[in-house]
Amino acid sequence: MMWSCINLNLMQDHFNFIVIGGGVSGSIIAEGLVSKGHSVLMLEAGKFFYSNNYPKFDIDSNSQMYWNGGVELTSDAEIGLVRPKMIGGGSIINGGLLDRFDDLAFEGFKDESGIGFFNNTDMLPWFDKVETNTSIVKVPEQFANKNADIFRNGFKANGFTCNPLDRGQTDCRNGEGMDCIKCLAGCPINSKQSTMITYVRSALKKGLKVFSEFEVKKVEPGKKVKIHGQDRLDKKWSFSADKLVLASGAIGNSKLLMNSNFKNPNIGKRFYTHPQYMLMAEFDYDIDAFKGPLQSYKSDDLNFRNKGFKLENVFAPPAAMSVLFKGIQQEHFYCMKNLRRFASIEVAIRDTNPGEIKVGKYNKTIVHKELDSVDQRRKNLGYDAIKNIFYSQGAKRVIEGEFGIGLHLMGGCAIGENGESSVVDPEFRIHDERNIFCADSSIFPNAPGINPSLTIMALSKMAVEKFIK
Amino acid sequence: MKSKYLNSFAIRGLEKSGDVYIPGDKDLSSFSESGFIKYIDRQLENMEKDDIFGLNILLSLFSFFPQNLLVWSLKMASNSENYPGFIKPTTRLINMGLKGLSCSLYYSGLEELDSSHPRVMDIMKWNPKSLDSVDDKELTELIKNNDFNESL
Ligand SMILES: Cc1cc2nc3c(=O)[nH]c(=O)nc-3n(C[C@H](O)[C@H](O)[C@H](O)COP(=O)(O)OP(=O)(O)OC[C@H]3O[C@@H](n4cnc5c(N)ncnc54)[C@H](O)[C@@H]3O)c2cc1C
Repeated sequence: MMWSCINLNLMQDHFNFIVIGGGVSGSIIAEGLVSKGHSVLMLEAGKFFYSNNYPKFDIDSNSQMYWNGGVELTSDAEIGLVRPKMIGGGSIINGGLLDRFDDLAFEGFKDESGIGFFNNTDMLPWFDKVETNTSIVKVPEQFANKNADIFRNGFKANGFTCNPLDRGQTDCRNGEGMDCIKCLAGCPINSKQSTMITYVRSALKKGLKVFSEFEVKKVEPGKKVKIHGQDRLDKKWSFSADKLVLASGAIGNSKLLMNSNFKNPNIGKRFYTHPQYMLMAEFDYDIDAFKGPLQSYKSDDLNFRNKGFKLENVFAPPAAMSVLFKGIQQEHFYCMKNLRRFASIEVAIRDTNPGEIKVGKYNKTIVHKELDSVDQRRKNLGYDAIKNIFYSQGAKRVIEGEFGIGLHLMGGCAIGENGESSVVDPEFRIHDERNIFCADSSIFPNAPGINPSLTIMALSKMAVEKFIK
Repeated sequence: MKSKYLNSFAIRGLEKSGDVYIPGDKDLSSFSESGFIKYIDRQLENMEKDDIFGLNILLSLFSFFPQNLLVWSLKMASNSENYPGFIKPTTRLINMGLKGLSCSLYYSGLEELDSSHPRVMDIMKWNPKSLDSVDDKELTELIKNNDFNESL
């Protein structure tokens, strides 16, 4: 394919740094780099969404804020992968839950990668830096809805331990009538701490240049890295940079490197998702899971952690719930019509069986990702715990969701000391490439079993220091 | 009703399969009665071209099925747990794809064609509240000045 290098007088085409992907990692890295006085261009396939233009209807948020209109299924159609597409990336539409890794998670990273800084002492300053810029609070218990009450009381009845969730938010004003289920399509009151609020705004003030709705198709390594892509009008553009930062997520980075003919056989491998399974329980009174905070509690049970799963109270808007309920005709219609009477809990498993990302015909994303017997056992243990919780609280019946959900897309460009078995080195540089870097979710060497965003943020902060050395 | 993405047979096929998931009752209209299909282009806007191609073929085929054969087919597709080989993922894909399309249109809080019907969400009493959105003038200005996309 021929890429024309067009240089409109309104824009420059060479930068100190180009960041591909404006999500969680890309926002932080871009802000860090412009703060140090570098010229930075961020290329992002999605749009700018913020409080002035968040879509009002699920049909629009699904089609505009995610790749391929909402959900991409794995090759066996067992897990639906949800891949955000906008400046701010996952932080605009995610649950906002921000947890530090525990020792178990870092030990797993260290064992797999051989990298020494994966421990809570070395990572502490980076977590601290992120947390000074992001307000993280315990979700206030006084606004917990009935879905959350069932979770908490069910935990108590079964002798399990749970605790309020830690969330990136300022004041969600639930007392004034705000229902946070809305913020799955962006928080209209700017309480949720998306990286748009915490980093992109400040980066723009410091001179960050952005090209939104621009999909990068190919990168060419060299003394100056060249980047080729396409805008929303399908016009082709080329840019160059002294250094390139890949921040387009697990699937985005893997596809980009494969499409650019990088030969490292580890690209696309070791893909994890913390597969999540929602179980819905019908009660004979209204639960109204949409009220107040969307989520309030998480399991905080060492027994669960050691067994490889965690539970959270959760729900989703009707359009998303409708695909989770099994069956057709009245069986399905009944559940939807009576959605108010359902509570829901999800189990997220710390998956051990890696998946693989490939590029198919017409540049289609193909993801192989299956649960092996260990993962299946983790899922079953979670199901048992959830059913015990629900039935202890008087559920009439419990329905298992139709498919698993992959929200934490991790790996594909695993970090490691050894270039034979990984893609990114401990300096966050692609092995054997002088000036191509990466520090986002794609570098995870395995599944931590903990919400990944805060650690992606901390690693991105750390990476900025290394890039500018 | 015309669509940029689906041909007229496929539209009919989607209406018929939507009725399998959303048959309606005394309170709520069925999928085809609701007229929500008029919003289909908003939903397909960013879908990959070859997925839309496949969807047109499948739905056009379904448009010729008698309704009871369609019900049977989608029932089989929704009970795919024990199907062998490639049949299982294919049938799961069909079931989830069609359920996703019709249910997203129906349960997104959009307005029905015949607005004398109460809104679906009102009948379901699914009414989350939101406070007024922040008018972020600063961000609007910053985006205008720094996003190349704004000057295309
Ligand atoms: C619904 C949902 C709920 C979640 N809840 C939580 C939670 O509560 N806590 C938590 O810790 N995590 C949560 N996550 C996961 C979390 O959001 C992700 O782990 C995180 O966003 C990953 O950060 P990232 O920077 O690696 O990628 P992303 O934030 O996904 O950003 C990648 C960006 O790159 C862009 N891109 C991709 N390819 C290209 C290309 N070729 N050209 C240009 N741009 C490209 C994408 O459009 C995207 O905007 C959730 C995710 C989802 C979907």
